[in-house]
Amino acid sequence: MVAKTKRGGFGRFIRTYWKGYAFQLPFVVLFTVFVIAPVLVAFALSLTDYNMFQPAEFVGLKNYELLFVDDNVFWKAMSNTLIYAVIVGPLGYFLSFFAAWVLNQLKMRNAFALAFYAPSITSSIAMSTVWMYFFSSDRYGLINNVLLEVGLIDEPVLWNQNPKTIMLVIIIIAVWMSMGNGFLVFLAGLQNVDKSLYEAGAIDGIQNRFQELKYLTLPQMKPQLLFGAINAITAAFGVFDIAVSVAGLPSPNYAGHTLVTHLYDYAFIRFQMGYASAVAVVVFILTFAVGRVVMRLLRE
Amino acid sequence: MSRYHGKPKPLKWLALAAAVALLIAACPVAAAAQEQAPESGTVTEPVTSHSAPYMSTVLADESYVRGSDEISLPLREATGEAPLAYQAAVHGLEQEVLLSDETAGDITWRFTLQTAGWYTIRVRYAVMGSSGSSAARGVQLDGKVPYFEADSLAFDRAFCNSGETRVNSIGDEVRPSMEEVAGWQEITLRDQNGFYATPLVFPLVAGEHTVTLTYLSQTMAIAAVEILPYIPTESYAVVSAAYPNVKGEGLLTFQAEDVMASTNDPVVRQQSAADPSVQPPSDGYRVYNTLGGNAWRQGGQTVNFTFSVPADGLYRIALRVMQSWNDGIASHRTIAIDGKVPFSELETVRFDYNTRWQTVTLGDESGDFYFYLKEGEHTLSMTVTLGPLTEIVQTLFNDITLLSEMLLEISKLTGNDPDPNYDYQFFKYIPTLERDLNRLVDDIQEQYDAIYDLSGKATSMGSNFISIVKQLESMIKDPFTIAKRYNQLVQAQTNLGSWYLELQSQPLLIDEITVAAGDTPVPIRNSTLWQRIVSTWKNFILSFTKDYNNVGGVLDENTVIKDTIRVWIARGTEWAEVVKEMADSDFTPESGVQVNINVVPAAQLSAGSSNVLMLAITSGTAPDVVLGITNTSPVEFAIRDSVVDLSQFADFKKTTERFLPELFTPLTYGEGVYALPETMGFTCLFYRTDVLGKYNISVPNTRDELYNKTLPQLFENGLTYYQTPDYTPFLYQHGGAYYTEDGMKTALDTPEAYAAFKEYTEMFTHYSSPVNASFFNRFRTGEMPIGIGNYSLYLQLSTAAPELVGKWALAPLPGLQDSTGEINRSTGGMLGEVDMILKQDSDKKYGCCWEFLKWWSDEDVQRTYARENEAMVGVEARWNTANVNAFLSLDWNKQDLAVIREQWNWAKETPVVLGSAYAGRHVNNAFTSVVVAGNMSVRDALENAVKNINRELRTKQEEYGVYADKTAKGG
Repeated sequence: MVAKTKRGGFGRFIRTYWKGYAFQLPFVVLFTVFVIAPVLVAFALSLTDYNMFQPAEFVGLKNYELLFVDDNVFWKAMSNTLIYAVIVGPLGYFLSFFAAWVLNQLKMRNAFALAFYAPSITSSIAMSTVWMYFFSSDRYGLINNVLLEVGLIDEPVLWNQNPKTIMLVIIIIAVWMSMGNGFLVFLAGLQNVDKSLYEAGAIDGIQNRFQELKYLTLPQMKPQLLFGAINAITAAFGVFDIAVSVAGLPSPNYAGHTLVTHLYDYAFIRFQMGYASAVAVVVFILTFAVGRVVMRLLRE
Repeated sequence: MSRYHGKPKPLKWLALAAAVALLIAACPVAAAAQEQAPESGTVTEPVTSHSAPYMSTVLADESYVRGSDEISLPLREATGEAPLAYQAAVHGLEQEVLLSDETAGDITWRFTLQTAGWYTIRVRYAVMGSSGSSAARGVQLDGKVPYFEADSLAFDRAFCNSGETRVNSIGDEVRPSMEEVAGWQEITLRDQNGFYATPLVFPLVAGEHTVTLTYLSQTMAIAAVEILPYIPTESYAVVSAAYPNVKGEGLLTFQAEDVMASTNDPVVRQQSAADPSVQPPSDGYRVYNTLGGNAWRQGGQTVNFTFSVPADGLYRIALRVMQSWNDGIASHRTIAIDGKVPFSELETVRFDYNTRWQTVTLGDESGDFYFYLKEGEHTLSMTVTLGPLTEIVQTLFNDITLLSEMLLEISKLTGNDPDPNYDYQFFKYIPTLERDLNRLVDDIQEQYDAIYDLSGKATSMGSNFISIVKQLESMIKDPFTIAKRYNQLVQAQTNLGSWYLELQSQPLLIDEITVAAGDTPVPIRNSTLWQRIVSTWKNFILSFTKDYNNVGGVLDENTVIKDTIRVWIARGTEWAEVVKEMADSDFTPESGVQVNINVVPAAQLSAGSSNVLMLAITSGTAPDVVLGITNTSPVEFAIRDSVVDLSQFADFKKTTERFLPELFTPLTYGEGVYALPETMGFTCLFYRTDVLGKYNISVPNTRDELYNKTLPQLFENGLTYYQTPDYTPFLYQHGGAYYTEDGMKTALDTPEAYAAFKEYTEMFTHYSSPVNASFFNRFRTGEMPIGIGNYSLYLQLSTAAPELVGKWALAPLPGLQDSTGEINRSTGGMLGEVDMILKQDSDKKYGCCWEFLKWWSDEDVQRTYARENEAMVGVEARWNTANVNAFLSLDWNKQDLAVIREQWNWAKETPVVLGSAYAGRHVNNAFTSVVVAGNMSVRDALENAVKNINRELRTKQEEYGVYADKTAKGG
């Protein structure tokens, strides 16, 4: 009896809502094939020893053991990635929100929006090339040239070769590039805030823009803020292109080595796919966990 | 950090001055020392640009005198550096001819002139051998080079299409290759840059003279050398007055690509143009419907067209051409009919810049020119000449030379690392600087005006001239800023250098030649917008069906095909097409093996990137043969058991004799050899003869000489040495090695490796060689007049640094002298790309693949390929084949080749072992720690690297089960 009602309920549910699911279908199929399946395969591969030529061999958790216990470069990559994520994630996030908030109050904001968004739609390799004009390591590099002229340094700084400066250069370029993405979302969010709320707020005694921001705009923009945060985090943990084009792969003394370059190193230079998958799984879990934490924090 | 620093130099002078003053006070004799003080590098000599002036300068000082002597120099009376050889029956000539080769060297004649006047020299010659390169000789009169242009003259060969254009399997046309027309040619000596439309003119007084042909390159036979009076060409007005009043017949149109009879440079060939108005139209396929284009741009390149007219009479000639390459700057041609420029107006014919096709009827302001042509065949020759640009180009060259000498003086004063805040008092210490700067400003301004007049608008090049003028002017006003703005001067030099080359480029694409009788109007055809839309649309539609990665074939229908192999080429499509054409016409008919070629971008095949070849192998779709892959790949793939061991083939040993044996080191793994070398380079010491000569700096033979003599001499003059950041030469010269004999461990823990690493890092920490510098640019400015470079630098200097011609040379690497006195110059990095055969499910095609590799690495095939390649892309694409004999037969400079061969004796390549792909990064890290970060001692850094490399090696050994095996055996 119970089962029958249930089936009937399910049948009715499908009959009522099938169109909605039909619309979802293409996305669900693509998402499964291109995102969920690879993630699962990566999980499975991370438990094997696989070099692309010979069949994979099951080794249990050995890859993880090697990764966490035996691989110093992995920890170097982890620390680089965390430093990068801690600085670029929040900084990019706040800067893009700030830029969106300021721009939203200006005239010709679409033109400004395009200017801000342009870096993030350009390939990061192309942008790094432009930036390398600034950070070029000989004395003809723009920054070196200026510093030499002012007399702050005696000989050119090897920006992308000196382990001490590599991360700095990567971060500067990354912050500048990461602004665009969140920025567009925030701008859309700002424009969606109901204008009448501001009038009401003014009547209720809001005195300045910052109060307006705190009591009205921010609470109204929760979904965009969340989306932006998740975006910023995934982007920060996935840093690759910029690191490689600034410092090369492998970078001098692994100074620009990140989790994803570590992954790439093992996958496409050493062809140790099992090990690379283990790195991928770690990156996935890390990103996912930090994402959850940030969501929890922002919800409150 | 650096012991030798340029900056304190002014202090040094102060000290010197003080010392001089003291001396003067102390003893009156020392007053003479005052005279010497300026010699210590503060006063420059007046600048001379060439060893000799330009011909135009020489002739400007003389007035034309018509000579009347016609002297044919007897071949038997010539004297050479060695007894001269004579030969009969060369190319069907009965007469005995003189052989001018390297042993004969410079050949001299004596002659006596009865009348003074302006003379020219006519030579009847045939270039011998099959190298395809022009012969080069210089001319000296009375023992000296009369002017710069006579220093080197080209004696060209003649080339023509070797057959008809064919259509390949994907519908594109394939050009016939260019083949040499061996035979006798006659030339009235002319400059090889196309500076002048007239031949070289020698003003001579009456009396005894000698004329010398100095040997530069290529053997040639000489049948006659004549001294003839120079007679200027008459003007059109004079010539046309004598025309009979007969109108010709018909309106004849010839397709330029069809009527080309010969050219003196095989680069000038048929081209494909997409514009729908061009006949025949291309419609998305490649149709060779035009001729010349950007390949036809260098001074002196001549094309001869043949056409016939049906009746005697007067004709006009129109050319359908396009010059859309040089923004705003016209191209020029000298036009001759039947080997002679008919009237002076045709010495320089101008074709304006235009992005559309134009029909140019030969003529001037007062109307079209008429040509009186007899019935029958005629030749129309068009030769690239610079016309009015010659003067600009020549002044520009003087400016560049002047600028580079100024730069050298400045860097000598300021040192390698100018202090922008220090007042060097440039105008005081370099007294000529202000004058020279002013001269530059005037010159460049003048050239800007001249270019403006020629093009009638402000071209992009012109505005760049102006910005240089502004920079220089502000430097003159405020010389203090010169130190700060040294870079701008360097940039200016680079720009002027590239404009110097750019201005000499005179491209012209030609579609049709129309010969119109009398006043018959010449039809003008241009594509409409609609036609262009249709054409573009057809092209777009075609892109869905045409496979652009596949290289089309032109196999003869009757060829018997026994088997087919698939070949991937990691080079550009043009390169692959030549391989395909050669394989189809040569390899397949002979072997019955058809070759299918696909082009794969080189970046996708290199080791250490997600690599299409790797993916193809894992998915079972790998090609049979790969050409042009990086040299570490074969062993990497061999380790994974996916490459064929070539040493299994019977004639493998014999085939390897084509290459330097050392090149096989990185291609060998265990007992097997997994690839054949395809290209090779070299590493040498490059130095500026002029700069080193000026400061009396010696070229080091050993590294002791480098440290104790050359470097101090360089530093004293504010100059720097360039050391490539490469550990390998140091390691090998000290007798070290990267790996132990069995390849199981690294050998970098030996005392030799330590000594080498110490010396290597000290090159940067102690002697402050810059870690990061553009050697090419600083070599040009003279700041780094000596340093280590490779094949690509050699090409760059030969093709892109016009102001340095004859001012640089090669020397073997400064080596390490051991106790017995022998100098070890070992270096790696010789091997370029390689060719390999991939394993398949069945081994039945391996034989065919091996035949193909043998054919491809053959001397003649490689030589033909090198020539075709150079003909197609130009000398900047010179094919550095790994086939030793083919390499030697390329057009090398004699001295350079001697150095390259010496360096070959010291080739030492690094083996590839399990896990070695990751060794380089640890050596680099050690270098970074010591030199860049400076946070580790040499020993610690190297030990760290050893530890890490051993770890990497062991990981890979474990992965492939080698480590376990060995230890098991050992235990």
